[in-house]
Amino acid sequence: MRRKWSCRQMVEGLFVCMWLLVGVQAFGQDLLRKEITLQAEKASLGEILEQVSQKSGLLISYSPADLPQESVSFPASTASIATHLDRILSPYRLSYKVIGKQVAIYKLPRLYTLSGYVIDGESGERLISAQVYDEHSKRGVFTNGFGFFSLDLPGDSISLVVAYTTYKSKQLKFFHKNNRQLSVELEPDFELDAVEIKAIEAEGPHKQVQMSLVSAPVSQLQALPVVLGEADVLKALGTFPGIQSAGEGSANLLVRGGSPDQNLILLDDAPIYFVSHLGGLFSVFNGSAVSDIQLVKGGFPAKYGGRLSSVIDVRTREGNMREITGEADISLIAARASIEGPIKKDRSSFFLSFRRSYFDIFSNTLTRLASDGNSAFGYHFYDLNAKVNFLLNENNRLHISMYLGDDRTNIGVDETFANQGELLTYQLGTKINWGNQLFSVRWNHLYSPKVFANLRLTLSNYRFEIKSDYFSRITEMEDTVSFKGVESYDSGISDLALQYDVNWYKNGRHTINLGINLTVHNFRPGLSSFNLTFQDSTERDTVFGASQLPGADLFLYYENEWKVSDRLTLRLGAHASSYTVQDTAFGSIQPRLSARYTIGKNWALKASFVRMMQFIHLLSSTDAGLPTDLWVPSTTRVPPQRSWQVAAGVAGRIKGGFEVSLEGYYKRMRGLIAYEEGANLLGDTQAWEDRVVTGGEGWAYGVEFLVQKKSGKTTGWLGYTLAWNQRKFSNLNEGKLFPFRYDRRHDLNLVVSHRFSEKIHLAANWTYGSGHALSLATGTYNSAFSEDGVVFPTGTFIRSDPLQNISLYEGGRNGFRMRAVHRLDASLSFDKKKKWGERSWILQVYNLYNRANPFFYFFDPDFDNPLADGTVPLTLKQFSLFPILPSVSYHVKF
Amino acid sequence: MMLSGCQQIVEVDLPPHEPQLVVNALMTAGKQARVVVSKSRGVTGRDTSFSWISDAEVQINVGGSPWEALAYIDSFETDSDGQTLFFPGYYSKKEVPFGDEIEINVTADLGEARSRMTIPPQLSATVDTFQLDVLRDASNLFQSLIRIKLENPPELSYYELIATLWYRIDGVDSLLKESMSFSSQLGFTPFDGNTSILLTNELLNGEVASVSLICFTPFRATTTVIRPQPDRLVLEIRTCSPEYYNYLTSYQEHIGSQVAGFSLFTTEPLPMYNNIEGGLGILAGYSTRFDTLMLQ
Repeated sequence: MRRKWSCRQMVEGLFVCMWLLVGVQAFGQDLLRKEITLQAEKASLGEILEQVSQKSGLLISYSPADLPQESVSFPASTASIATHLDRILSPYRLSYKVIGKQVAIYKLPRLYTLSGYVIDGESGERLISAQVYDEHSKRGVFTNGFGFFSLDLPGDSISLVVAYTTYKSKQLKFFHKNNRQLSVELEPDFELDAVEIKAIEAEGPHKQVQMSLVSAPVSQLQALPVVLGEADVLKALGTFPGIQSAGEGSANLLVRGGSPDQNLILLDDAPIYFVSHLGGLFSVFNGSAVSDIQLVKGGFPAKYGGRLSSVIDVRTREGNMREITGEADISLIAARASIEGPIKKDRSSFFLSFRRSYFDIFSNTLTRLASDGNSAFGYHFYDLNAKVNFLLNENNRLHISMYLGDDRTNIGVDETFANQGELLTYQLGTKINWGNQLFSVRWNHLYSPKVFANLRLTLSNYRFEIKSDYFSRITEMEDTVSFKGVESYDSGISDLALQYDVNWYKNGRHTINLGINLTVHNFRPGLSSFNLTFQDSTERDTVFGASQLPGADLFLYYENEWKVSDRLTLRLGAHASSYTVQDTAFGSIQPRLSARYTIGKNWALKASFVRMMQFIHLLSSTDAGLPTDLWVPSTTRVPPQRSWQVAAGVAGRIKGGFEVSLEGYYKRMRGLIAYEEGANLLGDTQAWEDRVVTGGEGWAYGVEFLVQKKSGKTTGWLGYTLAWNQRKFSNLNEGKLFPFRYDRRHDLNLVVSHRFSEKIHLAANWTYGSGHALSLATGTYNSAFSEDGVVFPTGTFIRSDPLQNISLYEGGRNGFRMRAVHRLDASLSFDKKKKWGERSWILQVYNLYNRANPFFYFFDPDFDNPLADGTVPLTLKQFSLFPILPSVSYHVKF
Repeated sequence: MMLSGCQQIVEVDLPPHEPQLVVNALMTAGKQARVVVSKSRGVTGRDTSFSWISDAEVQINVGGSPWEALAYIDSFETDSDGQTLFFPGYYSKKEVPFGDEIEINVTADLGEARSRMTIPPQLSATVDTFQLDVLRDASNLFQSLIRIKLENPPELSYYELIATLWYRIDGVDSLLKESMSFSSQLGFTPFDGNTSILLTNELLNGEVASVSLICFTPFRATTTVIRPQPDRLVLEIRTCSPEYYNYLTSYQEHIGSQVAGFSLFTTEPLPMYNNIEGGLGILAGYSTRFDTLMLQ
C-alpha cells in the first residue's frame, strides 16, 4: 500500500537526511575516538607517533624530514587519539588525515594573512558580502558589513577570485609570501554574458554557512514594477519564498509564519520601528539611498536578537569617494533627488538623498475649491537620508548617518453660517504626524589584519501624534455661547544603543565573532490629554495614559565559525540577553547553531537550530502597519515571546548561473499575544495589559524553493512556498487550534527582468497566493436586546436595531479562506545616454489583467429592501484595492 | 479620491446555515417573566421566514418545583408618538422571585433547551447612595459626579448603574427625562453607548468609587437658547446575576466588533456568553432599586 507523506513528515525526513550525511563525514573520525594513555620523556616526535601506533593499532605514516629534531616531554594523560594528535602535531604546523585505516601525517604550508576591502571601482564604496576565494587552496571568505575581509592563505602561489553580483569579477594571481593588505576594486557591469558568468562560479549560496538568507542586488529589487511607479526595495522582498506581505498595500512583511512585529529591521544598524508611508503603500526605504539589503529568516547569526522571525539589514550608500554624482526622479506619487561625492578624494565622502510626496499640493487646493475655502485636507511624506564617511587612516574609519522621515496630515475647517437667527462659527485644525528619526555613528577599527572591530552608537525614535484644536461659537442676539477644546495624543518608542562588535579571523579554521550591546528603551504607550474650555472657563483638563516607560536591554554574543574539514563547516554560537523594565527582569541564553556540508563543487547541505526571544510587543489590531500600532515592553503579566526554529536544506548552483535552494523549516513559538478586536487604541482608558490575550502558542512549518539568477541580461527568480501556520490561545476559539490570519498554503512568485539592449529594459512579476484565513459569521440570532421592534403607523415593522443581533462563527476563528490572490505587474524602461548623464522613462502597469484580488470582506446591509420581519438582509462582498493601474516615472542620473 | 476609485466589490457565497433554537430571558425580580423563543438564521440571503417561535412550550420551575407554564402573547403598546411598540413573547402571570433558583425548559420543533440561574436580592440599604458634586449649566451640557459605597457587600456581586436626569423647561408642564452617559473610567465596563455601566463589588469593596456622568440634552432650540433647569437625578442600581453581567459584558465586546466589521474589516469572533443548554441565548436577571436626588 502506498503511503502518502504529509508535508510535516517530508520536512522531518529532510532533517534526517541532512544529519545522516553529516554523520558520514564523522565516520572517519570514529577511528580516532579510542582513548589511549600517552606519556613522553625526552622523546622525539617520531617515537611518540610509534607509541600512538602501538597503543591504537593504527598504521601511522609520515616523512621523517617533516618532523622536528627536538625532543618532547609530557606526563601521562588519557585522551582520544585525535586529541593526542592535535596536541602533539599542531605546534609544528603538522596535521593528519585518516585514509582508510591509516593515519597520514603531513606538513602544513605556512599561512599568511591576506586582508583588505572590496570596493566599487567607480565610486570607491565598499561592497558587502562580496566573495574572496583562492582557487588553489579552496579557501574563501565573504566581506563583512563594512566590505572588509581577512583570509589566511598558504605561502604559495594563489589564484584569488573576487566576485560580487552585477560587478565584473576579478582574478588575481600572485605568490603569497607575507601578510599583506589588499583593496580590490570591482567594476560595475550590467551586461554580463554567459562567458563572464563562468568566471564567477565562486559565488553561490552553497559557499556560505548562513542559510535562509534572502538577498538580491538592489538594482534588481528597484526594477520590480510596483503601485504607481514608486520603487520599493522592502516590498520587493515579499516576492521571495517564506516572506509574504500583510496584504496588498501593506509594507509589513510576515516571515515564516511570524507577525510583522517579529521582524528586526535595521537601517545602518539602528532599529527602525515603523516602515510604512501612506498607510503601507510604500516603505520608508528610499531606493536611491540603499546600497544593500538582506533578510535572514532562519539560522540567525548570534549577533542578532530581540525578534523571533527575521532580521532585515538595510545599508545606505556611503557616497562616491571619487567624483560628484547625482540622480533624480519623479513618479506619480513622489519626487526624489540624491547627490553624493567626495569631501576629500578617496578619504571622505558624503551622501544626501531626499524624497517627498506631493499629493498635498493637489488635495489642499481641491478641497479648498470644493468648500469655497472653508476646509482643507493635505497629506505628504518625506524621507531624508544623509551620510558622511571618513577614512581616518588605514586602520580607522568613521561613518555618521542619519534618517528623518515623516508622514504629515492636516485637516482644517473654518466655517461661519447663519441659521434662523443664530450665527454659528466652527473652526477645526487637526494634525496627525508620525515618523522615525534615526542617527548612527560607527567607528571601524582594525586592530590587526585579523581583528576587525566596530563600535556603534545609535539612536532611534518613532513617534505618533495627533493634535486637534476646535472652537465653536453660537451667537444669538446678545447671547453668545463658546466652546473651545484642545485634544492631543502621543505615543512612540525611542532606543539609545551602544554596541561593540569584533570579528576575529583567527586562522583558516576559526572565525570568531563576539560583541556586547546595551540598549535603553523609552516606551510611550499612549498619552492623551484633553483641555475643554466653556465660556473662557476650563471645564476639564485631563491627562491619562502612560507617559513614559523606561526599559533596558543588555546582550552578549559569541560565535565561532569553525571549518571542521574541507567539506564541513559549523557555526556555533550563543546570544545571552537580559531585559529590565520597571522592577521586572527577564533573561535568556539562546543557542545559535548552523552547519554546512559541501557536496561536490556546486552544492551544499545546510542545517540550523536557533532559539530566539523577543522582549517587546506590538499592539496592532490589523497587522496592516497603521501608525496607531503601539510598541510595549514585556511585563510580568505579558511575558516575552520566544521561539525555536530548525531548518535544513540544500543550496547550490546549476549551469547558466542559476542559484538554487530548497529548505524546510519548523518553527515553534510561545508567549504570543493577540490584541482584542474592536478595541479603540486611541484614548482608551483601559490599561493595555487588560486588552491583550497572552500565552499564545504558534506553529509554522513548510518548504521553500528558490531558483534565482542574479547576473546576465536576463535575471530574476522563481520562488515557491508550501506552508502551514497555526495559533492556539487558551481563551480564544475555545482553546482550539486555529489557522493564523496570514496562513497561506501556496505562495508562488516569478520575477523576470530582461535587458533587450542598452536602451530597453523589461521587468515583470507574476504572483500567486492562496487565500488568507478569515473569520466569517455564517449565522445570526436575536440578542436579548434585539427582540423588540416598532410598528410604524404605515404598518411597516422595524426591528429596533438589526446590528444588535449576535453573529455565529460556526467555522471558528479564521475558519474560512479568502479567494486566491494573483496578479501580473510589468514595467518597461527606456534609457538614453546624454552628454550630461542618463535619463530613463519608466512605464509601469500594476495588475495588468485587472484581477479583483481580495483586500477584505464585509457584509453589505441592504437597508432599502428589509425582510418581512424588518431584518436588513446582508450580502457578503469582497473589497479589492487596486484594479489595473498604469503609471509613468522619469529618472535622470548625472 | 484616488483610493476610492480603486474599489472593486465582488459578491462571495457563504455555506448554508442550520437553524438553532434561541432562548432569551432577562428577568427583573418583582416583575412578570418574559421569555422570547426564536431560531437562528443564515447571515446572508433573503430568507423571509419569521424567526420568532410562537408554538413552543415554556416551563419555569423555581426552587426545583414547577412554577408556571408561560403563554405566548403578541404584546403591543403605543408610545407618545403613536407608534406601536412590539414586545412578543412568553409571559408569566406571577412575579419573578429573587433568591431561589429559576429553571427554564423550552420545547420546540427545533429541539429542547434549558437553563438555570438565581436572581440576587436587591442591594442592601447600607449603600451610601450618591451625592452630587458638580452640576453646571453649560448650554445643553450637564455634568455630575456621583459617589457610591458598599459597606457590607456580598462575596462577589455584580451591578449595573443607569442614571436619568429629569429637568424642566419654562413653559413645559411636565418633567422631561434624559439618559445620562457615564464617561470612560478605569474599572467600569460601559454598556450601550455609556448609558449604563457594569461593575463588580471588587471595585467598591469598602471603598468609595466615583463615577462621572455627563448629559447632553437634546433640547438645543433652533430659534432661542433654552435653559433647561435640572430638577432631579435618578440612579437605578441593578444587582445582577453573574449570567446577566457576563452576557452584557460579552455582548458589548461582540457588538463593538460587529460594527467594526461592517465598517472596515471583517472581525475576529469574540466569544458571546451563552448559558442555554441545547441552544443559544441567555437566562439572567436582576433586582433593582432607585435612588433620587432632588436638585436645586
